[in-house]
Amino acid sequence: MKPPPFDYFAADSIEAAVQALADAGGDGKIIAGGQSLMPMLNFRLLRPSVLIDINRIPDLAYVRDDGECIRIGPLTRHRTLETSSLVAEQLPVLHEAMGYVAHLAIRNRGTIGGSLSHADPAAELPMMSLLLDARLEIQSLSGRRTIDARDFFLGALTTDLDEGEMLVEVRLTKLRKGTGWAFEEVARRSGDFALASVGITLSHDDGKISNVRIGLMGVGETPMRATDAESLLAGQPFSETVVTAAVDSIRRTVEPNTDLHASSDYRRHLVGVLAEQALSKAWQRATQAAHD
Amino acid sequence: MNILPSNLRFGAGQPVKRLEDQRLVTGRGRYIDDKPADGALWLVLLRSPHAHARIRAIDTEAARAMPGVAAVFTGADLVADDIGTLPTLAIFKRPDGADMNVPPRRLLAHDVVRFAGEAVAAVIAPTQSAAQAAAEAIAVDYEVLPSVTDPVAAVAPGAPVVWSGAPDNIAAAMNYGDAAAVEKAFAAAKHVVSLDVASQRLVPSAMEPRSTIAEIEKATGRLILHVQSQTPTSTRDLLAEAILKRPKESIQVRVGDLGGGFGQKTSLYPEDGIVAYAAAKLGRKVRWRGERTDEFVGGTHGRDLTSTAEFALNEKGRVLAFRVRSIGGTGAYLSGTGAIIPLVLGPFVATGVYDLPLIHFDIKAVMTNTAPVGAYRGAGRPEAVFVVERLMDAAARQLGMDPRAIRKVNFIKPSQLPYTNAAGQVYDSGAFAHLLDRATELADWDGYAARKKAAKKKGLLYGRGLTSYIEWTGGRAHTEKVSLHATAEGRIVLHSGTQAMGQGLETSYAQMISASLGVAIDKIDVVQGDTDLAQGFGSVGSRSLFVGGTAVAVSATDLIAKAREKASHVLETSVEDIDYSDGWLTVVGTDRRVSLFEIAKDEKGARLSVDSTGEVDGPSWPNGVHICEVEIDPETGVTNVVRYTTVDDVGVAVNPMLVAGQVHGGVAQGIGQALYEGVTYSPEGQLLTASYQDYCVPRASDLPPISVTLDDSASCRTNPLGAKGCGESGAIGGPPCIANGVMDALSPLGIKTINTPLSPIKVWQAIQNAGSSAA
Repeated sequence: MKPPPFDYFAADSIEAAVQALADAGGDGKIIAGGQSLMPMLNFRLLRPSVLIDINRIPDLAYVRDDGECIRIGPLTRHRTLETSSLVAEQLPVLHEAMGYVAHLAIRNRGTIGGSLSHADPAAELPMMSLLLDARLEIQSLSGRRTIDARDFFLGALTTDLDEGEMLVEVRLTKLRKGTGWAFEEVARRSGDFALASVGITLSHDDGKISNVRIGLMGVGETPMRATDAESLLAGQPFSETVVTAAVDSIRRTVEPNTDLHASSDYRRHLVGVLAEQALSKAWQRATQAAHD
Repeated sequence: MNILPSNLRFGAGQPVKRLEDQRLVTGRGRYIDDKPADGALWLVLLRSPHAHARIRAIDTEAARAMPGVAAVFTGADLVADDIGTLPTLAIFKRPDGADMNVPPRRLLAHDVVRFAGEAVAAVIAPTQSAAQAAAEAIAVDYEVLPSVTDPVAAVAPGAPVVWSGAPDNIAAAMNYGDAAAVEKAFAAAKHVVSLDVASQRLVPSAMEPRSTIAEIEKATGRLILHVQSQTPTSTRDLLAEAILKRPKESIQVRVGDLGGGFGQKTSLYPEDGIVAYAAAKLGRKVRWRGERTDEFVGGTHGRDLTSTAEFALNEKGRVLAFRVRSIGGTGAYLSGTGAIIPLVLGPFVATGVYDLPLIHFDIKAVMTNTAPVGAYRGAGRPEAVFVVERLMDAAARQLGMDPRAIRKVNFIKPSQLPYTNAAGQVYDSGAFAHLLDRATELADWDGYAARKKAAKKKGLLYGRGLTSYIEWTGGRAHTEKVSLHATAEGRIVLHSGTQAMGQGLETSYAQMISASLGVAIDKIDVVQGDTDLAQGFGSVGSRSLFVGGTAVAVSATDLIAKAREKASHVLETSVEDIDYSDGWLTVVGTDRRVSLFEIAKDEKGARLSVDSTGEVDGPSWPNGVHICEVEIDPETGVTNVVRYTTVDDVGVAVNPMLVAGQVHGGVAQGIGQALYEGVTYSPEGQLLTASYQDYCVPRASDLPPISVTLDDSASCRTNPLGAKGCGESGAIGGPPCIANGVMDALSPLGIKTINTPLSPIKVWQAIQNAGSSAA
């Protein structure tokens, strides 16, 4: 099968793209890297009336240092993030996670804007946007708005983006100096969507855990923060007891799906295993940084 | 068997780089889909969404009325035009002694569809998208019938019936050996080891999906079929004789480059037949492009054999009797190889490299509402070797023996060769114990304990798998014809009916010709895939090099003989006084000479040509030993293959690098079968693993380094090259080797067996179950 017929519009500006979205009246789709959209079209799971190509819009692909945060253009390819020295220095957990995003050919084309807008619950970037307190800049004919990543993901492949809206910038908060971090994932094969995955950042504050953030993916309809587990850990000395309590909390709060490759029970177990490993790694890194 | 001069033994095989690669990796390959549009009509198939349904009516009116639509064909149209059905090789018997009885395999379903994906209608239009749109406008009124997709469930009483001619769904059955004597041996045996094993259904994954173009040559009225076929001649013959019912000379099959086959691209597919029919009917060029989905739902699948296997053993681990009951799934329709794979080809090697004279095999070929099963790299042998090798390891564990020791107790001894196995097959050569010793050394068997200890320290389970495999090769087609030409332009041209599909035949053949004629390799053209130029059995069953190559070697000898004869006239001397060397024919002891290519100038078509036949005495029996080590994370169930070592006896290797590549590819597919791949149908008969997102072929980064060592200490005695077919062996040794390794790692937990693919969830679940049953 190949795509159903569609019109094609190559936008030369954000304004033109959102105008085209508005004109399509909900039937338009933005195409950037096309790494999820094209297969869905080819399987005829989607039948948009028009594809709005944003690849020719100037200055939509960038990774910029903006003091407190890193600003990333929506057309930035996964490979650019993976190889960005700014990302490696300021957001090492993202740098690590990017290596798990599909495989090279897909990373060369796929974009951060596309991944976040597509909102696959087992994809790395949506979870990273939660972990790194992303602020998402969104534009439509009626202007711009900003939304926190935690309010953005509403369900599997469903976001807060309105039909006429386009994601135009992602701002990720830099990790503070001395932050410990870890990213753990199990997939069926290298490069597959995660069966379960955990990302963690935390600090070592005088022997105690602080600023802990835990992102989970593959274990629910959206990526999520393990806020209960974060509360259990905050301010505590790192110990087996507190880690076990956090892991138990994570396993209690997730509601994973069963599919061909993994059962709900297995995913629930797995996310706990990965959380334990990630906590231990992140704490080691934070402790190391505290002693440096 | 042809007897060749000693210089044609190719003992010093060179790892010549593939001549094909420069062309193929720079985009200059010529695949069918590369052919220009040139006004051809496009054919698109409408496939059944149901696993089993009666077709009440097909309304094609709306489709026919759509812009540009040239034709819409249904099964009824083909029946009306007396279009034939594909052969099912119904030569076997049912368990009740009646003749095998299976549904006709039509190009388009008629009255009933029997698997989801069966083609129901064909639309022909000027563009693919127009044809697709029209196909979507066809309304088929289906009455959904009960369906069954699991062959074991299909033989249970009361199961839905795939075909009324076989109410128990058993298409055919075979029995081997002496059931009573085996029963007696089991009753008296010191040890009985029993194991349930299954080689799950797989999707062969050639890189290039099938596609077909048919056109009518205006001047002659001949039909030219451009098709991806490993067997161009039989594809032509089937199309002519079974489908279109016209003389086979009136059809030319042309292949071009072929992006992989793995046995899946043999014979003739319904899609090829319908394209040819449409071209003939409309008098137009018609093309069909298979998408990956067409391969998943409409291409033949592989494997699908479920067995219960038992050894009766004495206290020394000697197997006294071997009993296997198997059910082989054939799918809804019998492909030409659907029954022969489980019923015959598997049993050929079912006793492996062991001296097991007392056997009883009971095998049923069972129909289900699924895509037909056909050949896939190994075709029957991987399934059979999987059974005996898994059982051998299980026996070693149960008896507390070293897996090498139990094999050595049971190996066929060199003094027993040639050895006739229980299925009546004769192994001509082999050095089974020697290969095991070499593999043991190369795999650093003794260093295993330290590696296991290190893994344990990391919290990982660690295991080692061993397999001694043997393979039957040759496809029961032991002659091949070629023609060899020296041209006035100074080139040597070979026409062969075997078919390159990625295995590097062009290079191997050119190497052989270069060595025997003393002509530079870049002066040699190997031409395959044109039934007007060469006819033969094609490339199946790892036969090309040792059968097709024998013909190549014979042709070189014949060409030299003919050239000497011609030179004797030119140089006015007797043939005995003409010496051939490096393209020159010289009068012995003088400087009078004429070149091979000068002689060609005066020949018909400016070519000195010979037609030659190569013949071998029987199958070749490549064999070898695979050893792997795996680590398993008990918390996640993830298995990593960390070491993989093979020693393979392919006899004399013409190009050792190509052989190693074959082993690598086969092992990769073997690891796929053991850990990743598996077809899943829903209970309603929908193919759930219908794309590579869900059907998990391993990626390069999922594979370990594979160390391949070739051992030719027992070269083949049934062909003059001494070569053994090497195309499938990796896929035969691979699956049991990995599965044995995983079972070895899990056995301390009391886990006896898990069915492949050994996915993380299955391994984790087995560990959980073992833990809870221990607690």
